[in-house]
Amino acid sequence: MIRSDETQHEGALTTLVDVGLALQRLNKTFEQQLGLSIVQWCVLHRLLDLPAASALLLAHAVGVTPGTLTQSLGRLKRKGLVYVGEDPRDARRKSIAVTRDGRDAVVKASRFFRESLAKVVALRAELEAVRDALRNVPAEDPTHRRRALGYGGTLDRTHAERRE
Amino acid sequence: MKYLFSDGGLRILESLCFTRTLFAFDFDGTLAPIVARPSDARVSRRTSEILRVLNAKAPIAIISGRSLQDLKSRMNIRPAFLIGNHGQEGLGSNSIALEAARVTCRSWQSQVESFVSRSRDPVGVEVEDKEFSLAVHYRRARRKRETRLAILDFLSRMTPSPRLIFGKSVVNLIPAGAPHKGMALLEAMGNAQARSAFYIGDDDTDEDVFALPDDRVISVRVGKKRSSHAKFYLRRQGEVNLLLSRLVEFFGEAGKVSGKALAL
Repeated sequence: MIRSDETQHEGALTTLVDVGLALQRLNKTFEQQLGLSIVQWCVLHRLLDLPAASALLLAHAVGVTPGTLTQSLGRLKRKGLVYVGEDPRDARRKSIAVTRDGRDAVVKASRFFRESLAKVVALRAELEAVRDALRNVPAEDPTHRRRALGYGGTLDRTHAERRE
Repeated sequence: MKYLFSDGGLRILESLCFTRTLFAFDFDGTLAPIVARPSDARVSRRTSEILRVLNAKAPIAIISGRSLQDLKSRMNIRPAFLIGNHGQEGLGSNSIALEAARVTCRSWQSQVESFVSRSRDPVGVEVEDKEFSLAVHYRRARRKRETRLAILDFLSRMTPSPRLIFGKSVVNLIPAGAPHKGMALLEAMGNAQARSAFYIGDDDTDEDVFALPDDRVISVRVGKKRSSHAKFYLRRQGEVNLLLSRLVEFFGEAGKVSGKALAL
């Protein structure tokens, strides 16, 4: 006999996966229609207040790994929305700034997202609760996780990388 | 360091106009050209005009080694922040610390003036009393190098020991532990609620700003110097008007949103 709490547990996990997939689809749709995904908008929006930021600083400000940021930055650079150059004091580091086109893109996308995602934005408190709960999920030893699931490969892609 | 008017430098300069930025300037050698007599230093009419336009668009700070009173008398505009005495005056200064600085500087002044009167070239050395710091100018000395060495030798034996900040043919004596230009800039940033800051200066007295370990500060030195901590440089003081003009231009464009940015 299936217990009701098990059904609720599976239902919650399925909903979580659905949310992740829906976000991926939205990202792709917005990028096709608007030229800017939500994640890219997030990067540009943070960068507006961090002129000449390093990649590490920007990744930390956005809340993604440097690897994820590299992919986003590559796309934004190809669109001419960010400038990525050498740090004037350390040629090993990058210095990143929003271009004028990037600034304009953020302004326009902000208006668009405000209208098209109004219902989602209204659930901000709930979204923050979900985010905080996910952040507090205890990290495991990947070896232990692989053995528990019967896998031989690694399962070390972060949720953020899957979203991008 | 990179040239500010390179492609990368201009991109970063422009991006400062997209957020609330405090634009801060040193005075002598930056807004006003260096002159033989410090009392003759003036901001040109053209510089004042462009600065006035910029002042209406963004918070501005002038951070100088001059006394606050002296600085005020030389500015035709009233920026958000006028900071004198290398950061000691102008930001809700601590009156007890300032009084202690005044007493220390009086003691130094009598020692330094006694040294100058005994020196081989008393005419070439000028002591400037800025109330909370002293400046020993030797621009008009016949033998600058020799004069400088003699000054430093004397200052090293003075009590209480001053902090020395070197400028162009000038040695500044600051009370140990007093705020410096870097601290003043950060405080002004906080007061202005600025997300980033731009600072331009021309000599070692500005290195306290250039060396700030804060990525929010974009620093520029007038005149390239390899050992400087500044991120960018201008070639000469004459390029400052061009810098100010570019900033005004960027602010003029910043208010417009182009149609080509998105496929909408």
